Amino acid sequence: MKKYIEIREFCKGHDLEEGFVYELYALGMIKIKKVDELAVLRLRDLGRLERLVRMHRDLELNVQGLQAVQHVLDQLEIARNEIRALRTMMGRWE
Amino acid sequence: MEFIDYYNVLGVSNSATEKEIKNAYRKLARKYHPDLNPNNAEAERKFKQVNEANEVLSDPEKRKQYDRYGKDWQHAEAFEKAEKEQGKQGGYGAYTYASGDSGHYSDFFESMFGAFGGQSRGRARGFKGQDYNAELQLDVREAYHTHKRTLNIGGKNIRITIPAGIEDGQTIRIKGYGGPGMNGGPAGDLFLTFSVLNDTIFSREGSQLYLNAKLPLTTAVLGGELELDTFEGKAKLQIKPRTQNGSKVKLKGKGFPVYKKEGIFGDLIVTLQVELPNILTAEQEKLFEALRNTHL
Repeated sequence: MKKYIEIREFCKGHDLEEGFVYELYALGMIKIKKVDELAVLRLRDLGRLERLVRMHRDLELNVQGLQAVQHVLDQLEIARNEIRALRTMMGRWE
Repeated sequence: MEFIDYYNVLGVSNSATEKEIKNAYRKLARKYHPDLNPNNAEAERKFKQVNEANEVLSDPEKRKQYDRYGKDWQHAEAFEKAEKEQGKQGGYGAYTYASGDSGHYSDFFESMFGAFGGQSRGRARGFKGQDYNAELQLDVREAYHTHKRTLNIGGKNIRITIPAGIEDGQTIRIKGYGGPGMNGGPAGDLFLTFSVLNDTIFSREGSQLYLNAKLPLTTAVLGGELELDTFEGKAKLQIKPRTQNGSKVKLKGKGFPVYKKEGIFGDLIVTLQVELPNILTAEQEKLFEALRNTHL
């Protein structure tokens, strides 16, 4: 089963400059792997990357803006998970 | 089908300039963008409305048509004109976000401008189809085993494998099972969120299971064996003498399966609750008296 997609292929499919993907990588927002000397993205990471691409286009955010938004969204996710875990723990005491 | 007041949606007057419309649109679209409002159906609905209003009001031709025929959209002339207007270019691009429900545009929009009136402009490349969001309820007993399920999404049957250990609230992405692409674009994806219902005696946190077990007083004091329930049936637990109330015992590998790690299980944490007797026989009472006399 295919696990990776070439960056070039991803960018072509999304009508995107490859430089944008590398900028995200430089800021530590996505992971890039090398497989057979090709720069690739893991398919399971694509959901996150596609969200960044949408926000870049739709909200006209540059990579620094995306980093800030992503940070807040990650914090929101952590908070949600904590709430879920706390609710589960509370359920044990009820 | 209801008339939609696009000016009202954007909060601008009928005489708003292109710049005012653009500003109002940007402001509202940022507020309601679904990527900034995860799992918020109301924000997504508003975002669609705002996007649609912008589609019409930012395009001079469409705006003219809307202003002229909008409230009388049922008039045949409007439909004829709409047919002719399809495919015209202009304005600034619509947002790329697409999701969940059946259509990208309202029935009102589609009746005026055609089903793909809004997508004929903007980027020249093919569009990825809509991403679909769906929720699937599972019993925790089902989530314990890897199993297959057939789902009906948009009239299409999809058979998926649900790995053991899936968590409540977890979302998986099934690539290509969203809406069909447009202009040769790829199909969207299906985002399936699981709601795992747990009505068992076990609490679950990931692959860890928790259980409260009652422990007879004498077994707590003298030690012995306690039979208790695990997710896969009964198990016997050796109780050490002088086990305290509230002690926790970890049963390794007796918890829930670890997601996508076939054959690996979390632990079962048992909290022992020492039971004090409510009723004693005369003989038991005597024995307790004797114990008291030993200053226990």
